Amino acid sequence: MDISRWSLSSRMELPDWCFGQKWWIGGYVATTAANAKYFYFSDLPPDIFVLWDVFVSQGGYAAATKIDFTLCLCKELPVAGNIKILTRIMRQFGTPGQAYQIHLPPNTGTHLGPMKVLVEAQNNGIGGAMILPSETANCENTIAVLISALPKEVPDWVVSGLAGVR
Amino acid sequence: MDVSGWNLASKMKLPDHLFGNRVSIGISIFTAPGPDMKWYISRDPLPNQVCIWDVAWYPRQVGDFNSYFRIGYRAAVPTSEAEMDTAVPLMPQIGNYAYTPPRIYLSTASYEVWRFLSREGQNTGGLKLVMEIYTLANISRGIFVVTYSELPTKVPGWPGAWPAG
Repeated sequence: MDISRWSLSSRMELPDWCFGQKWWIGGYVATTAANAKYFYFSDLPPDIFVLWDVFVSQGGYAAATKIDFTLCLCKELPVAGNIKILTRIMRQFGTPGQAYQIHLPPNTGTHLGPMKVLVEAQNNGIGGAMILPSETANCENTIAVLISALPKEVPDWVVSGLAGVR
Repeated sequence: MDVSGWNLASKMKLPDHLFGNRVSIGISIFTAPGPDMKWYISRDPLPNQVCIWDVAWYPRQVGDFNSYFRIGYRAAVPTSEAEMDTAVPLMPQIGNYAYTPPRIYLSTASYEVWRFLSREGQNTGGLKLVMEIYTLANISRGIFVVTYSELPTKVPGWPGAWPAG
């Protein structure tokens, strides 16, 4: 059954397996001491996608007390001048106006999921910024997101189980 | 109902339980003190099409520095970076693009399990799983585990009613 005209919120109520493939995109981020590092993922997400997980890792630290980072929608590598005004992914984390709204422990790999968050990318890619406060050494890091597209068709029997979902 | 003729994307929209048995392949890695690069291969070939459910790293011995790895599909164990370049990559999208092809950065500084749960359909070509590990300074030792299932070829009649045709 074609459900491509359903509202986004109705499509989000479908079972997880209706979303089909979930895949990781992301990138490597090399931070230099306690300086902000901006990143932009080479692989583009679908125009409207579902965020299922966020993975952040950092290794080889010397003095870092935490990881501060943010994820946002953008068309190119963010810079210090626009990082606060770009549309945040997971904007429910932290305080509006902060450059870094997500705070994690250093020298670890952290999953922020599982989640099921609708993101309207509007032809943007995914970028962000990362900083290791108090760090004295150069560090190597990985940031990745698990995404899928939204369902456009489902078996009829799935819909009959969601009476009035439209 | 026979769904063996369905394309990969359509099969991936079937419910999880129809994928049946999930198999875990483990590849043990053990490098010398870095810089050192090693290559490994799975015992058995994979089915032609698989759904990747998980890629995990379980460290057994950690150093104080970092490593890079690549994982992919190939008929024989690589013996050089150039040979590893010819493998079909399994997770190329999260690599370090300073390298061509990209490598995935891995912190081997702590006893910490890394897991990449996913639900990604892939064509393996019936090849084996191969991996390359490059450690920059210290010994890297542990096991990579890839959990996969075959894609459904037959399903009960009710899910087969979709996609029409």
